[in-house]
Amino acid sequence: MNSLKKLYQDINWKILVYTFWFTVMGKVVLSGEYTAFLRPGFVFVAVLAVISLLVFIVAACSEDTRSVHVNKTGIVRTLILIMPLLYYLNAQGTILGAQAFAKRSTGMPVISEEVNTATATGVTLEPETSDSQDINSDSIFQIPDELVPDLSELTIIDLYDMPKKFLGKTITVSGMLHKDDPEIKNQEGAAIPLIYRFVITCCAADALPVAILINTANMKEYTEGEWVEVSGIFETIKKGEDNIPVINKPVLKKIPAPQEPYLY
Amino acid sequence: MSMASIDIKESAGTVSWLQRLGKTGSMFFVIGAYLLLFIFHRSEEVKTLSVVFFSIMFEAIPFMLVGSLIGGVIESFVSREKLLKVVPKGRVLPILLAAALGLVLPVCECAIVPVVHRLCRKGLPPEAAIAYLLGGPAVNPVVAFSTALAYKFDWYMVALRLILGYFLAVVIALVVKRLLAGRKILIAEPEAAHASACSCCSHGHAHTHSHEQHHGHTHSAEKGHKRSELLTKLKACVNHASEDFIGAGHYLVIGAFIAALAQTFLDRSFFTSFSAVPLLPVVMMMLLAILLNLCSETDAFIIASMRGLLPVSAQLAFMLTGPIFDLKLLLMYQRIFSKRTIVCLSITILLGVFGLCALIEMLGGGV
Repeated sequence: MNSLKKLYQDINWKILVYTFWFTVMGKVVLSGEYTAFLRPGFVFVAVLAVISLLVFIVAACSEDTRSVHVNKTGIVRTLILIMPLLYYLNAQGTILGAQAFAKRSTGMPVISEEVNTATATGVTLEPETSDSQDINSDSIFQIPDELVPDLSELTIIDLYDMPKKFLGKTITVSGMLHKDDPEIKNQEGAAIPLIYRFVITCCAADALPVAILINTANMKEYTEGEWVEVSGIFETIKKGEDNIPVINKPVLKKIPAPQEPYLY
Repeated sequence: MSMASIDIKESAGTVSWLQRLGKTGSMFFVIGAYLLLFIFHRSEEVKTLSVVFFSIMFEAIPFMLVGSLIGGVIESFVSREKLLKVVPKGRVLPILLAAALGLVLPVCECAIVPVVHRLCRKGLPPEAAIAYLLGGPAVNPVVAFSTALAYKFDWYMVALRLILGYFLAVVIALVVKRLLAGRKILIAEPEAAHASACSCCSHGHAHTHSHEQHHGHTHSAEKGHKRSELLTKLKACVNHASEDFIGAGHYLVIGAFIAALAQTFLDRSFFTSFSAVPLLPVVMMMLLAILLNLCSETDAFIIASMRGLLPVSAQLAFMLTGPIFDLKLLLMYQRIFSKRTIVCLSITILLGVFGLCALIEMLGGGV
């Protein structure tokens, strides 16, 4: 009992905390898993942290452990500091999905309550002419052709960034399906599903969904949150001030989740 | 030196009921958070919570480490005399300059706490420390750029954010100084007037002893062994940084966890559903900013995505509150300020942001 107590008192909890964090952050960086949590361009910050933690471990190891005394607060503090690492174990292999989409989607033009009510009678899903499109930043930036992605490498965010480049063209994009609680209905009252992906600015905490409508009612063979690839004609519908992107005449194909599920 | 020995010190003094409450709260927090993970780890909500919680920590830890290291450098290499030489004299000038210091020393809100902690110990006037603490994360080039990007280079919003952020930092610092005149603002007293840059110790308490008394051996070494002195200082720098990281890190974890809970379970559309009621969106967005604990470099992207649904005043309320007051910061402020100061600071911040945004709404920013 006494030896256990002594062992308990001799543990340098600080080294323990740093070692756990160093191991996990090192693993996340080296394995490339960081893309599930962080914008890839910010990995250098994580590398810096791993190096700093190593320095802290070395410094803590050179301290006099005889001065270490553990009381309840020390253990509680240690348990708090290593808590994110246990949650990391639970987060492995998980990506933000339907639950996060339901809670975070406010900024999409397709989801406002007014649109929901009006679409039952108003929206005809007839495309606007390309002259009237002004969804996003095309009016601010003239995007050079060499920066326009190839049609085979398109993502939903490209459609928002440079809609004029793709209007009326047959495109292929992928994303997670949302069909169970649709915000927009067509003239017949049938739900219009959408596909979405999350866009990360810095980390998954600030991830926001971007979505595009799929003009089809035939969704029986697909499940909510499933990854699909959709090919069809990119057009927009106008509702009030909003231009809502839509893929008309879509052809859907089930696909496995991509290696990098988020957009940046 | 370990964090455990810091705890001895804390418990050695008079432990107030507030401290006991804090410790009990921490224990309940630990039990609750671990039980949530072990019982519900398979549920989609807890999976999402895990991703968001670890993401916040994974992003914040590097900045926290950098802030701690800057704090360590200040503690070990900058003497009180040197620092005080740089700080301008006067009642208002130090505040005016400190609030704009972020323009040249851009530090985010996680990193700024250990930096300010060490600056205070070196004798930076508390009101200037508050101005830097509030101005640094809100008024800096990184925040300006991210806001410009989020708002598609709407310079009006960028200017409003920076100018109002600066104005708030200055006014709040002045008000808190006035309200707490003659009272203890900082949790620990600054170093003794003749204390120099620390070069050999790594403990967490305030250095109230004189340099000559405690560091005499370093003085003799200084003459012949500059290199070893540098090494000693570097070691002390790392130890101080490590101490700051451990000292404030658990507050960061608790704040990040609460933020992750809010991000997972709160419906954001709820916060935008009151946009027709005057001033209510301002309150709701302040509340959202406090709960989400977002980094000041990213919050503009979140609020910009709601701009069609919210008045300008509410968008500004979100961007002005987040960098200076959220759950994580509220906990981390305990590392620097006394409880009274934190209460006073919190009330002043909330009233200040609300008052300013209400004024903007009345002047036509409510559309």
